[in-house]
Amino acid sequence: MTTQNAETPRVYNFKRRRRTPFQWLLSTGWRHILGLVLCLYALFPILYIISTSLYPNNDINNTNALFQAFSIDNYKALFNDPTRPFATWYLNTIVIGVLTSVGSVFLSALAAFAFSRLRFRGRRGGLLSLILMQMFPSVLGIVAIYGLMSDIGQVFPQLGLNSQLGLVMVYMGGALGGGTYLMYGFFNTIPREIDEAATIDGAGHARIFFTITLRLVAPVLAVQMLLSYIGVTSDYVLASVLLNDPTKYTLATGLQSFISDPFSKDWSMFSAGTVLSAIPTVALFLFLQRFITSGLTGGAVKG
Amino acid sequence: MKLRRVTGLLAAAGVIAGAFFASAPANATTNLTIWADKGTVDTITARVNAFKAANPEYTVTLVEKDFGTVRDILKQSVQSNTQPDILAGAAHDWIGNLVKANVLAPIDSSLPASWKDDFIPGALTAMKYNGHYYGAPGWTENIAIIRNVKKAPKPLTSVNQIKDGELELNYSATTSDPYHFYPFQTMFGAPVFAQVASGANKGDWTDTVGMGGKPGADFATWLKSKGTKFFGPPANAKILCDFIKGKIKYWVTGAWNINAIQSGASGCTTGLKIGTGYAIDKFPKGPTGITPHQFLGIRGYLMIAGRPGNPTNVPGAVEFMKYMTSQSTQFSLYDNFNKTPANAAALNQAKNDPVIKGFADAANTVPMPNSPAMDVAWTVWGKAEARIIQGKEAKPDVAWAAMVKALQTAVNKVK
Amino acid sequence: MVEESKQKTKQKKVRDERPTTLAAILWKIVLLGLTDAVVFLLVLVMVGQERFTESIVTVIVAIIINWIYLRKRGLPAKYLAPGVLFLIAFQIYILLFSGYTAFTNYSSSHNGDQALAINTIKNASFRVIDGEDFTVSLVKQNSNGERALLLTSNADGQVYIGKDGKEKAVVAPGDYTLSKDCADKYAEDKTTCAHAAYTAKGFTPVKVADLSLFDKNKYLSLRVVLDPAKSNEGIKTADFSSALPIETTFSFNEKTKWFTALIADDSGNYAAGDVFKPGNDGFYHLNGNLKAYNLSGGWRVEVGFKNFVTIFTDQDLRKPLLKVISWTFIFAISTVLSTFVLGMAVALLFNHERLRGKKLYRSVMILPYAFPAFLSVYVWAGLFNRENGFINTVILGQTPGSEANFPWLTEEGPARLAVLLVNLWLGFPYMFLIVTGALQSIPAELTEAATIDGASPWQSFRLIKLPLLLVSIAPLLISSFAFNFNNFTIIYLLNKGGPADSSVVGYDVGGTDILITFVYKIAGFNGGTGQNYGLASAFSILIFLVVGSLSLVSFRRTRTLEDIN
Repeated sequence: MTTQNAETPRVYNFKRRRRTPFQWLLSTGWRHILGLVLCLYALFPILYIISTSLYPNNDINNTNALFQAFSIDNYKALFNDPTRPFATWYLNTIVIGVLTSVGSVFLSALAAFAFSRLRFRGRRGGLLSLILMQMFPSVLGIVAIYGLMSDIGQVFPQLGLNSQLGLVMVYMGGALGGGTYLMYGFFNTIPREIDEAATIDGAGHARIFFTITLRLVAPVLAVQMLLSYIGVTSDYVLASVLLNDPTKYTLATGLQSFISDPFSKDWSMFSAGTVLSAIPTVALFLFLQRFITSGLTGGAVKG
Repeated sequence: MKLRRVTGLLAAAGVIAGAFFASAPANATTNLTIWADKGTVDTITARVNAFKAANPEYTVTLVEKDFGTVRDILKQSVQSNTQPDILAGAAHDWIGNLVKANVLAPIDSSLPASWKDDFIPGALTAMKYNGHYYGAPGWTENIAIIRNVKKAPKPLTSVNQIKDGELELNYSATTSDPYHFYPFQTMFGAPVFAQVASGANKGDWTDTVGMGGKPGADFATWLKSKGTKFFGPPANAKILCDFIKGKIKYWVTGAWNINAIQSGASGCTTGLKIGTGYAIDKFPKGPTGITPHQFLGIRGYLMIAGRPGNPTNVPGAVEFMKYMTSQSTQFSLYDNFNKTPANAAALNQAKNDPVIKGFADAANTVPMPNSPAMDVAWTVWGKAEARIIQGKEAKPDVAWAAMVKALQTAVNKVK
Repeated sequence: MVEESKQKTKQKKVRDERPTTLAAILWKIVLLGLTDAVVFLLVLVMVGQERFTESIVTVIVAIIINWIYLRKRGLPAKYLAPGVLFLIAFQIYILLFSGYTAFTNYSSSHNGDQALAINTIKNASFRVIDGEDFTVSLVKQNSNGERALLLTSNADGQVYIGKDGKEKAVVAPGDYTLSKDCADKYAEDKTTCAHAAYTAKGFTPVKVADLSLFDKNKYLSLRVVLDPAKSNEGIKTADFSSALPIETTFSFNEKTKWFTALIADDSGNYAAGDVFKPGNDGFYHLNGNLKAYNLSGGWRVEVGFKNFVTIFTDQDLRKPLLKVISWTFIFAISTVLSTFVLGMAVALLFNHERLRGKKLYRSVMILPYAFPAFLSVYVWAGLFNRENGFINTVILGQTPGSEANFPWLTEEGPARLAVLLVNLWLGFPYMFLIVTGALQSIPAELTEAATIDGASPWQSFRLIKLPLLLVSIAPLLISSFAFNFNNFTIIYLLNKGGPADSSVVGYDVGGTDILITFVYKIAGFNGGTGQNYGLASAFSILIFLVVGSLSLVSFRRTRTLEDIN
């Protein structure tokens, strides 16, 4: 924001002069041209899938003319197949996604606060191991998790196999690794003087954390939640292994079922489902765009 | 004493609390759980519901599982006592691997002779591994020669009648497709594995690679001499239109391409009709007069093994298998979902459909081997085949022999 | 370090006060109380199920939690505990599980414990022999309650009563009642179907659904004698609807856990009377001799470093492994570089104060990031299709349906290029975002000063902006490297690691396989060459050691960079 204020007078100066097309090309024109090319690059797979979703009965491998047909049959069909309750999956994804993202961001904020504000033995080691642990190639993850969840389910069925709450718990297992490091960096950018002032005013650490620190980093929290939400919407392996019942599926698991049968892949329905499932994420992304840059770079880029 | 009473009380409270948490207590004698992939669920749901109505004593649950991960999950589930009673729609070549993993239970103690006679030849044998039957056949598939009637009015009798450019089949440039090439290979008498020669298990596959020696070498030499000129290029996406337009006369494929042949595609929009446009033929005899075989593939119902504390509902599972293999069920799966019945009577009934009849009459099948060795074989075998067809091996017979040797080593590892 | 310890003392002064407000205390009581109540319930259930080890672990965990939150000191633990709890339960658990599995022979032939293998062998310890088979009805004798099988021959309709340990006895035609239902319940022709006896004089029929597990087992073990000389033969039922002449092939001794063959093997692998003992390789071997014949049905055992030895000594593995390792590094490094360069270029392009529509451009640029990755990878796979894909037929203008088109996914070189291109698309928005952020944090005065000093835009970029950028972004580049090192989604979903390498024997490996997808294939999750979880785990541990130590070194180096800054 501050940079923009600084620019204002100069922009004003330039606007008074009329520029020839050549000058325009030299200063910002080429940027627009390259920008358009880049937009095409970024957009065309997405346009392609939107186009596929508007064809009735089509194959993703055989559709090459974009936007030749506009039929919303696929979209209608999505909501009319009782064996594939798309609307339910949508709702499930939102519920599971929101629970997971809120839960894991809260957990990682707690941890990040400790790493950033408190000094204790094993602090650096702890941070480092959190990062390193993310590099473990857990190909056996599903075998291990299935066994664990079926054991839990025998004691507490509501949290075991085929339980959405159980799935949320498994996702929250990744909370510390996912966001702590970035959030830690951001917490570091908040001046310590603020906490100290609050302490002098008689605030305990919990009050500082909940009413001061968390509020100051609200945008980062929002972005982290968004990223964690995207993580949930992209996972289909864990969800498909843990959830049995089509009415409990998430979008990723459900959409996968359109193309998982090697003998009959329904790409049209898959595309339509994909487009609809991407809408909330894309909308949130655009809505939170202002915060995203700072939310992502919080750890490394100070300021 | 006191302590024991306290633990007893605690345990009692625990049982009550457990009952409160647990939604429905598992009842091994009446519960019948079936796992199936999405495609199978779509296919069998109506019949499963009919089974439920006819057998109210069983609480039947049909659970959808991802086709790709269902086997891994099964292997884990038998360890944690969360396994189903039946896996439906399983490909029969999964059997060996699942038996080795302690997942399946044999059903032959429930197979009266009369029931064995219900199926087409080979269908039940496909479910056999290590001398036991592990499931009941659901539906079948096999390949045949699809002939363009206008360009080739008469069926082939010998492979020598086929000229370069007249036949095509789909295979990969790196892993070939031994499944589609198998009839040509058996024209030289080179089965993938050796078969048991005598005794009760006569004809069962062994783990000894059977395609070596002179027959294998002859096939490899022949394959190289024919090459891509004869079989068409690898990864050939044009076959369908080539066939419909009559650019080629013969296409080696299965029932899964019949819809496309009849309805056409972009580039060749008018499809062919059976009889006047295309015909489904047997494979011709080999250069030396040997009658070839195709592989028979079965999708079926496998019985899962439970432990003494959590046993499989065997009566329910057997009842379900009897129902799903009955003539009426198998005909209905044909009628509604175009699945070729494994039940002989249902197949006869379905033969009013010329496509079903065509593939059934063209079948001179052997069940595809279902041992873990077969999982290993596909790639090793296909890689060598792919290189030979594309002329990348100067001495095809030597390359083939090397493949046979390497395959035997690999097979011994998984034995 | 000095600074840190100074901070420490300062912190201590400020931090060691307890939360004194009533609200804070109330919250603490409520939350801890709830947790303890739930734990108490769980432990009750577990004790009820006789899961004592689990209950003890749960109680210990609960005590630790209470201790953390009730004591005065140890503030960091109070903030870390919730996250760490989940981390241990799900992530560290997987790590330990893999770590343990690496030292076992866990595979599809060694699945589960010995009890499971025994169960499998017992299940298959029979053989159907030649002879009559029967339709069965379960009955109980009225006089003494003895369980019996009412047998109707499928061959001639003759009815018998069969009791445990005795030969079957004919029931005279007037003494039994035929069932109204067909013996074959699903017979098409109900008018001519055979009917089986349902009950007999002096007996009461028993419904299968009413049987307790105990009763069921009694009926299952009921053996009607065929030949008094042979105790391992008999007519038995397994499903309560039919009975077949069966011969038991193995006996099991519950005490020694040994199997004894009752008849000789058809293929001559063992003779009657041979004993099978559990070997330490997880199989039942003839006489316990590891080199001798083994029964089908194995269990998981610990094998020490065997899997690691295999990795380093298997000749077949060496070639594909070296290839996969080098490609993994190429893939991860080029991905990081290409996404970073493109992302930075885009950021610089749009980081111009007078550029209109900046916001719109930025929104479009992040779309690839916002779209669920696994979905877009599928789309890309379709776009790259050789014969009819959009890229070949529309962008490169090749003939649709022609097999002479560019082999994007079917030949190694092009397939690798395709993977990199797709990953560039997926990854550059992230780099674009972070570089944009970093650029905004570089003080404008720095570059302005350089311009005044006569530096060209390129020079001011290379000498001032780039170094500053690198300092702040290096940690993110490293984590991006680590992420891509294990980027399963793109490799596996785009092309399953293919095209398959036809020159490699014994291992399923493709031209674009990176270590994690290669390991995934070794673990057998792709349904290919036999599952080997043990070997796969050993691999994942080695990979972890490599990536971990590499990253550790680089993190150390970037910290020195930061210090200079």
